[in-house]
Amino acid sequence: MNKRRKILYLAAMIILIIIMIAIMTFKEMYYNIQNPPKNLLVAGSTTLNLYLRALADSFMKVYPNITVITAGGGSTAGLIAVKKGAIDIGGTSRELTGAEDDEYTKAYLIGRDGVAIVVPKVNPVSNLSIDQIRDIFEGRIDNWKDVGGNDAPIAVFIRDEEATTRGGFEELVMSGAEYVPTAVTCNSHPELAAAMDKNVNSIGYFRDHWLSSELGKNLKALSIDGVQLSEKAELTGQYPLTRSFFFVFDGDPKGIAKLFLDYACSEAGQAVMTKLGAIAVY
Amino acid sequence: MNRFLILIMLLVCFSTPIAGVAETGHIHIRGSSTFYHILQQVAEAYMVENPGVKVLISSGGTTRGIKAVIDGTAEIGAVSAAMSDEYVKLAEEKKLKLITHVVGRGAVVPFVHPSNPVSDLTLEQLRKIFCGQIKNWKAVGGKDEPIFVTANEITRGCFETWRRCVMGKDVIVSSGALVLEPIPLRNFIASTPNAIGYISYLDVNSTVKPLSVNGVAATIETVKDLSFPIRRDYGLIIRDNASKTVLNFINFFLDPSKGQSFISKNGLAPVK
Repeated sequence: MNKRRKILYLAAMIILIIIMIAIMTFKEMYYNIQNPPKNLLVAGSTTLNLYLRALADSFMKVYPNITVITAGGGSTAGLIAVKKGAIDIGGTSRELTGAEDDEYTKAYLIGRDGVAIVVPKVNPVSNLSIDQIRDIFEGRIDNWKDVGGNDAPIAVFIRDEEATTRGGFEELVMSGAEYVPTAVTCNSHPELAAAMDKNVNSIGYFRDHWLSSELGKNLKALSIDGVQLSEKAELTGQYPLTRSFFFVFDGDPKGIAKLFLDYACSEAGQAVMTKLGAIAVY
Repeated sequence: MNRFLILIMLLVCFSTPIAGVAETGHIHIRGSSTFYHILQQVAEAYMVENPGVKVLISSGGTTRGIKAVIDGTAEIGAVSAAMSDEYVKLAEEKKLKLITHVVGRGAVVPFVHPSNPVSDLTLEQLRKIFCGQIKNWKAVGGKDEPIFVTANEITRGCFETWRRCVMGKDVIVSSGALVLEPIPLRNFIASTPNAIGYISYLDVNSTVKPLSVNGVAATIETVKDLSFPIRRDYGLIIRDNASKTVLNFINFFLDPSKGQSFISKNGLAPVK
């Protein structure tokens, strides 16, 4: 009798477990029916990609059924692709032109960042114009005395081609011009800071948030056309080396594309961007 | 049951406007490149006074500013020309009510070479000169010399103001007119004795001679009191359900000791 009761008890347990597993499986099936796996395609500006990847990663943690696929290719390519319906969101790191911003196009500002032009603190120069900066990086101006500094040769330091800051700098300053052949290429911000620390005649570019870190303690940001880099000057656009990032849609944002836009504009999304050196715009 | 239904209906009625006036803490402004710099200065001052609010400014032109307010990608459109019919229609289609707050005014003035004895023209004389009906300076009290007409590019705000205030709807410009950008235009007229052109009064300098119109010279005072007839308004376009933050910014811009002081500092006529 006792043995029989034990068997019954065991059987009851097994049935219960089976039922529980069934419920859980069913629940997952139900969730998958409600939230089927989806892909979101975002492409555009290469210099926006750093932010885009980080946004996508934290977004996918909140919405595990959505896969965000990002690609570079440039702002213009992204705009064309979104208008042809090939992707869901086009990402640009520049303002749209009047012709691009047609009746159906919607461009949402999601972030801004600034490129700092830096020199060692001992350099007496405190301001340069955009034209002077281009001339220096191109090699047309090669002595600090030509821009109000000491009689000393200028040493130009740049970042590797993968660097977001380099892309931003080239968009905003170089307009297609080549760097001076003697420019020294550094593969990271720490490497750049270390190299510049050793050369009092150096000039280079940094993303603004590096400047306030330990790395930038011997460097200073120049004001450009008389405007000092600050969050306020980036918000108003007065600081000339400010980039704007847009999510561009063809028509009203819908479904998971809207979800991703809302996430980018939310406190969490903006925090992802600011951690990488952008300034929050919401 | 009936009470319950009424309650639901009331909730539905009130929920929409409440959503419209919620504090957002950010203002995105897009639009006119003509008064971009003034906007930036006002925004900077506003953020000093309201450190919790982010005011983001992008240029791109009047048209893009209007469009951004209609499609909801910006809260304020900065405009330096009237809204075109196309966008009035688009706003109507979307059942949107847009409100324009004029925050400053400027003038577009006709001007000639300093040696030209003519110093005043009526609006009618100007219209006839620019559509080619008056071809000689003698007809308006000047020397017996042909009039050389110049014009602004069609995309310029100056062109739009000149068309609206001087030319009327159906007359454009004398077909023989030389079309130049504002500064090259001023330089051209500074070296061409029989030429006439028009330009923003901010761009007039001592190398050329501005004309009075209908006996009124263009100054900040005559633009402010509306007696100078060729004027353009600088405005901020918002939706009628704009947030409190946006309305606060507009009030700041219209405050004589705050936003309006930047208008006068930059040579435009304040509205308050």
